[in-house]
Amino acid sequence: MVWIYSSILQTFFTIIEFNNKEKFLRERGEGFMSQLKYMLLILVLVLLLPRETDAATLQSKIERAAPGETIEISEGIYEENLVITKPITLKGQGEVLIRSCEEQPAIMIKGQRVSLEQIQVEYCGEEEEATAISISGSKHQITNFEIETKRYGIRLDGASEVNIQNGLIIGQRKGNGIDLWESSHNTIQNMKIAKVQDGIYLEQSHKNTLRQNHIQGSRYGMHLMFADDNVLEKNIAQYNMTGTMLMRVKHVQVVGNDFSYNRNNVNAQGLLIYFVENSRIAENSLTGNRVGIYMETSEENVMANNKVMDNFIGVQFTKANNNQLTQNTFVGNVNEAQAIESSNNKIHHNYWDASAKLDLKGKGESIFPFVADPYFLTLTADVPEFQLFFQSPGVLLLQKMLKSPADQVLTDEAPLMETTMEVERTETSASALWMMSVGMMIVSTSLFIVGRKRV
Amino acid sequence: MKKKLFSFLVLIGVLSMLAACGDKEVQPVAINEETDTCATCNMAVVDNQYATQVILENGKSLIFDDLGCMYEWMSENADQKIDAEFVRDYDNKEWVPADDAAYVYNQSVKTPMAYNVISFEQKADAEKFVANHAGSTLMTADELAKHSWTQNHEMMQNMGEGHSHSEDGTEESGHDMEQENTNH
Repeated sequence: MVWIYSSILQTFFTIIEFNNKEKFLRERGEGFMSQLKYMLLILVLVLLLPRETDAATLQSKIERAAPGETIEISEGIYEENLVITKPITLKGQGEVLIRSCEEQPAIMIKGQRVSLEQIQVEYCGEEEEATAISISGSKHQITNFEIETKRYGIRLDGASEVNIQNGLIIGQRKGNGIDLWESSHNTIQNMKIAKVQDGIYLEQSHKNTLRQNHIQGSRYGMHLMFADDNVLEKNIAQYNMTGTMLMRVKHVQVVGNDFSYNRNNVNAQGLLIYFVENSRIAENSLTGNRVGIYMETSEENVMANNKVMDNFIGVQFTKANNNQLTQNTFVGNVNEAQAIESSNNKIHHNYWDASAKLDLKGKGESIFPFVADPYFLTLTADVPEFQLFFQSPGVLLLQKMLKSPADQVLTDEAPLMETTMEVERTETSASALWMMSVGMMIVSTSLFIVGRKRV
Repeated sequence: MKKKLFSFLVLIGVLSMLAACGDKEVQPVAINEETDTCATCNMAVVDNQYATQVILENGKSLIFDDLGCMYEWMSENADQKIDAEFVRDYDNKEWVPADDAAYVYNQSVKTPMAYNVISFEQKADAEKFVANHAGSTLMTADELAKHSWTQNHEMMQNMGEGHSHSEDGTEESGHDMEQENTNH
């Protein structure tokens, strides 16, 4: 295509040259007219030819599209970096893959009301801040998409009322899946995110809704910093270093999420709460983590109706005051609760399966308060190696002798007799145990019989 | 002759070993990204130019993901005996004793906990950064000790008004603001 263009140009240049020579010979008016003709021809060429050569690129289609238009992208692989700044819809037909390894994002969205649908992005930019899709502006829709990225998946910077849903993001643990910076009133839902740094990261971004996202194999599932009034609802964050981190946030709702099996790191926990105020953590399931909920330096939060099950430590408070812990169910945790330097927490009406219970008044409450002594935790804080003495008789004796001060002890004055929710106890382990013991009995008796016969 | 040379070499060897024993200079510990978390904010520490560390006299090292977290820890744990403090050079990520480094505060530099202070081994490099980035403030280690450590978002949110979080975990959170002000 290029050589045709250049050869055509060359002929025109020779014509112009010829024309210039002609100009000296002919009358002024005639020469001007023919010159104008050629100039027009060249103009037409210059304007039309590049368009024809670039007709196949998506960017040219985007540039030609009128606001409100829908561009249907036919199946194929497009090695391009797209910039969309006007309200149009890009819709993939079949398998549409945008591929880029450039420093700039594969797709850059600005302005208002841009829609992306049915598009796959493969991005291998390696710069520290590199991202497959970058979004600013407002009211964009990104739906039914897939991103494979070396760094970030989607970055929102100063974006609002953006809706991101039904997508898949897979990274290489080097950047966040969806990263919000100074972006508020956005909705992120039904996303599947794996192998990224933080699944969804919010900094200085407020009033966003994260709903029904599923994040695994990442550093932190959801990570909020200086991000207030956000809602985290029905998300699943499993097998990460930490399910969710709330740091320096206020008025956050964490409801109905599943933060489980976050235990593969020595610093793992289901939910970490640091410098958090006036937030509500309710109806979440925290199962099989190293620590279910770890809370530090936080005040005026409510934790209610959570299921805290099979964790090494159920809840752990450090310098957490004036919080409310109620109607939670603690089942099968090695260590139900620990608190250091925490006071004035309203802890009542939780179910602790490890504690002794006796209901005298028929109110469903036990007359024995549940008490969690921080002795072991204080002991191991400075010398972690002392963890080897966990549940050793000597330490238990010391704990009884050197009673921690009353205000240091986490106490539930009115523990519940029954769980606050249905807890599906795994029966398999019990039946396996039975099978094993029966098997061993059979083996030992038969050995006994065989041995006797030989003698 | 050979014997003499050999004994001389042995002597040198023994002397250098002794010298090494006497060498009490504290060395920074390498960061393990898998397991190291910030002693203040609990966040996983990335082995980058923002990481800092404190080495206590008992040999224990504490890692921080942000210079501000280290200073917050030091103001909260004034009773701890500190042997050495290390920060990173912003450009080449080498460990630098905190007292020898030059510091730059710039609100638009994104640090992990948004304290927005970075460190340089050479003052010239810090000056270069200041020249290239508007809104930068150059500080020495002494000046940094008096720095207010306001986090970026607080600057924007609470212009003028006091924040009421309890830094030291005491019950009287109402007085914390005053305490903090006197601390720094």
